[in-house]
Amino acid sequence: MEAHRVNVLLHAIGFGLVTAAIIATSAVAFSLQYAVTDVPNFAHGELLTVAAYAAYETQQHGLGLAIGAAAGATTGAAVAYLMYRLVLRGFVWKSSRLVYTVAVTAGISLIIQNGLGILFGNAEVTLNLPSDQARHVGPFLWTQTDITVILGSLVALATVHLTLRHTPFGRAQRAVADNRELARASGLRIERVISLTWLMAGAVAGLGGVALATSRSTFGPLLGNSFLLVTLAAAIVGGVGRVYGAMIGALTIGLVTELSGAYFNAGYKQVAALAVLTLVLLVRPSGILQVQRTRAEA
Amino acid sequence: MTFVGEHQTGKPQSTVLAVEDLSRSFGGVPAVDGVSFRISGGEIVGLIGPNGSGKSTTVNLVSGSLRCDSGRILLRGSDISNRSAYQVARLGLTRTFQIPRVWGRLTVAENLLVAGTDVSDESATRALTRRRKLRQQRGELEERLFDILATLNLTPLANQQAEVLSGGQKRLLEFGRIMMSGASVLVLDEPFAGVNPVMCRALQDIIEALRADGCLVLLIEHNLQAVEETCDRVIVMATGKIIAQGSLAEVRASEKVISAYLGQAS
Repeated sequence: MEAHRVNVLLHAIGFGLVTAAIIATSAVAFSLQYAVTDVPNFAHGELLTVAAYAAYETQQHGLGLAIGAAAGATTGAAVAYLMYRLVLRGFVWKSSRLVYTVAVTAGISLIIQNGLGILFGNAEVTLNLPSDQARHVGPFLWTQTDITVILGSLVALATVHLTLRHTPFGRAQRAVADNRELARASGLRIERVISLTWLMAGAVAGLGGVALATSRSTFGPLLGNSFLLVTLAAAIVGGVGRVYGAMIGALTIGLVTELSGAYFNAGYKQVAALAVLTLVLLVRPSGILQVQRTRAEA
Repeated sequence: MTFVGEHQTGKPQSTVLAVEDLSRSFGGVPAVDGVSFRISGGEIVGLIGPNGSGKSTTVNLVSGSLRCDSGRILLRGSDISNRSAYQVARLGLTRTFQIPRVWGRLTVAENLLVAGTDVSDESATRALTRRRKLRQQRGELEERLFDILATLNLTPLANQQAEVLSGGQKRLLEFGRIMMSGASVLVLDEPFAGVNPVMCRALQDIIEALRADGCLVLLIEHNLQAVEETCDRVIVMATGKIIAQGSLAEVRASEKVISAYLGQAS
């Protein structure tokens, strides 16, 4: 009896880690983009969706899932970039009020959802996944796809980390996120940093979208939108705009949702995510990684 | 992008920064009204005047933070009046702010590295294709970084987040950024405000050293003793206009200046 309980717990944690990996890619992309460019992107979910459809489309042409993932990342990057260049740029430059950008991105979200519905139909499509047996990896029970998702996510997050910490471009990104006016006065090409950040965030979100699609296997135009809430929860729990916080937030939300699913009802997963979010906001309004921040500007 | 060294050190030479008939008003109220002055390389010029005289607006106009309504700003002969702040910075004109600004969540060393790299040109693909050249540049950059950290006594703080620095240390870090960027025209907004006398002395030495490298310095300052010790000459503004220019002793004797400071300008 005792052993069974431990098993249920370990399986839930195993699922939780897979979910956390997917949330992490999505939330890191959201936070990175928000930190550098100040746009709370409510069309973020659609970056995941277009990537999932790109992977689906490559499969329709007989190509493998690895190419599907690459196609997803590329499509996510391209759509994010276009979103910025065609629509959001003016808002970013005028430092528009948050509520305007929220409204505009929510509009973009609907347009993309409907566009995908027109292109691919509103019925769900199915991704062909290698049929594989779940097997024990340490204490966890994972399929090959789960393992690929976790490893892929780790590689994506490590790439973001290395870029931010150890490249001149990453330093510029953090400088723009920290104090844009100072960055401008110091001669940084902010326009370029921001465009490239959309590209980068779009690629990471795209990978998250393909990972999400593999975990659901069937999906429709609302795939990413249904994932926006947990993404936001993770990003906010980690402290809005804090990329490393988003990773921790994803871990928290991923584990909590799967554990609540195992012990209560799978239907309550999103509720659990919101409960954690509310709790964290009550106790630590600026996220788990709360840091006293003295603003550079007066 | 190094401008230091383009100039011969030592004696002031020809005009580097020229401001011609510069005007800017806010809501119909002129803040800067037909201001003209010239500054040569190697000169340190103080911009003084009572509060609300238009000094800060002048600095914001010169550094590209604000657009002018009319007039011209010439940097080495080329018109920069309608350039954006980042373009002006790239031409070698750097400014500091009244309250020192740093990137708080970057380390002290990173603050300097951002100022020193031509970062935004390094797209990801180029970083991959030109690794060797980049590595060499990185070596030179690090060497400069260590030099500057040592000069400013910031070496022990190199890996600290800049937000933990004291006000004076942030001020030093601003100067570090200027040195890293290789700017040759420095516009300093109250560099000595709120720093203790020892730090003030240190900052004056740094400014003097930058001048010896051929930099031109325009500084706003209320601390007249510091102005007297640091500046070759001063420009006095009141109600958006220049009312006197010359050595501090000369302008102190000017009746216009006295009445402007005592609030009796008619």
